[in-house]
Amino acid sequence: MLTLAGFQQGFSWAQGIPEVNVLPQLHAYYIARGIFGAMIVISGIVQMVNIGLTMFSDTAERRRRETLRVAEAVAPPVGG
Amino acid sequence: MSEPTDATSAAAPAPHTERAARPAPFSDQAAKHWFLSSIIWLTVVDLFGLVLATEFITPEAFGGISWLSFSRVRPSHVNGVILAWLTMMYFGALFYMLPRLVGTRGMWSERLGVWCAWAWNIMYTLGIIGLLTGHSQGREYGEFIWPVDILLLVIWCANIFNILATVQIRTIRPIYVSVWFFIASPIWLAVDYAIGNVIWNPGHVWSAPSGALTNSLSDAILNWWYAHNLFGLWLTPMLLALTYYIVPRVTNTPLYSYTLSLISFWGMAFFYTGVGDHHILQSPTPAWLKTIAEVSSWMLLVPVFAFTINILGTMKGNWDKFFTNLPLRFTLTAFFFYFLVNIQGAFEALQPFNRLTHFTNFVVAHAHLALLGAFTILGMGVIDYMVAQVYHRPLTAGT
Repeated sequence: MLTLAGFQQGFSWAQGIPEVNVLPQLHAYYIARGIFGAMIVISGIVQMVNIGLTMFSDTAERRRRETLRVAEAVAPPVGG
Repeated sequence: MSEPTDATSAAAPAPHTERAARPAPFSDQAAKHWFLSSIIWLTVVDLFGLVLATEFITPEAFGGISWLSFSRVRPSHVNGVILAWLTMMYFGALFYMLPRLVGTRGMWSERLGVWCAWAWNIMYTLGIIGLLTGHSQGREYGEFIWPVDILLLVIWCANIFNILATVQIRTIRPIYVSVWFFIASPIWLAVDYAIGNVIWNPGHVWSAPSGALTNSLSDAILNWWYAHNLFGLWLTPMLLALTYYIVPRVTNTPLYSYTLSLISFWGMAFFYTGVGDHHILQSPTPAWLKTIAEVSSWMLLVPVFAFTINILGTMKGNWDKFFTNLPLRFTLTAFFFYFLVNIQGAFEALQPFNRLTHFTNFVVAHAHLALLGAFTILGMGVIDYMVAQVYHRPLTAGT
């Protein structure tokens, strides 16, 4: 997104258009950048939560139980 | 090397045997402290970035709050991404990988590593408070005031000592290419940081002007030599080192070529220090310096291609794992962006192209492609990998 904005700035500069006239055109790019920036912050928080949950809960035991449950559903234990 | 626990794949549940219940052979205390700190700093420095992006849309958004003004948040964001998030993530990965690569049960001193992690967190907090309250040296990427610079260098040297001591007590004699980078890269950066921040000239210790050469043109050249070496001698070599570890490890394939990996090491060591002046091609710096910067920038494609071919060769026949293994998917996405950013950078360093892109958002985009697209995405993958390995369990959400 900023690459495009940069090209727009650069070409306008090369054509001698004053930078102040380009700024309104850049506004849309900056809004997009703000949205993407918010997405990055959110993904950072998601990563933090994921790591935290992994540290403070026994995911190995949980996965073992889940696998066991699926295995028993597919092939019930004999006599069960 | 450790036992392949393969904790991130969804394949088989960990068996509840005596072996699984045994404490891990590696303590990884130092690694844990560094990379868990880094993941918290990531969100903090990203929030700084979001403040900046908001100020681009509505400049008056935080009007009146001096410590949220653009000129103070911008250095906090930039220094934070490099020194708080990426550096702490890299040291975490280094303290995790180095013992496994040199055949020791941990770092020479895990305790020293833990102390350094805390000291680093304090150092960065002090630095950021300084920047937000207006205590800045005002030189790009070198904004931290002199006392913080010194504290940073002391911790850094302690880390270097720890690394060298670990390599000294190694039980595996041949040195894998990642370890080449682990030894060289921190030393390069310590020297770069000391020279680039002109630490022998503290000036006014608590604010600008300090830490600069008296001749401002020479200072600009030195400043950009330092700034690009931050990427060239620390962030990029460490990306290579981590990729050289993760890809063969996860795919369980030997590295495609040892020779190519050494070309990528020495090529980077030789060419990267010359590129700094390509940041100021439109300024009255000597023409020969500009030529060296442009040629070096293009010659950098040699180590880049050596690295690319090496990783693609290692991935040959392993691409199915790209879709099933989360850390590998992150690592290869970062690898792709890294390749892209280098091609982009080589063109950007040419005068005709630079005339078009200089002072525009193109440069900002380039920086984000490198630091977000390559280094940060790699960091996400490496942390996902390490957390699963260190805690011996799959990630809560990890496929």
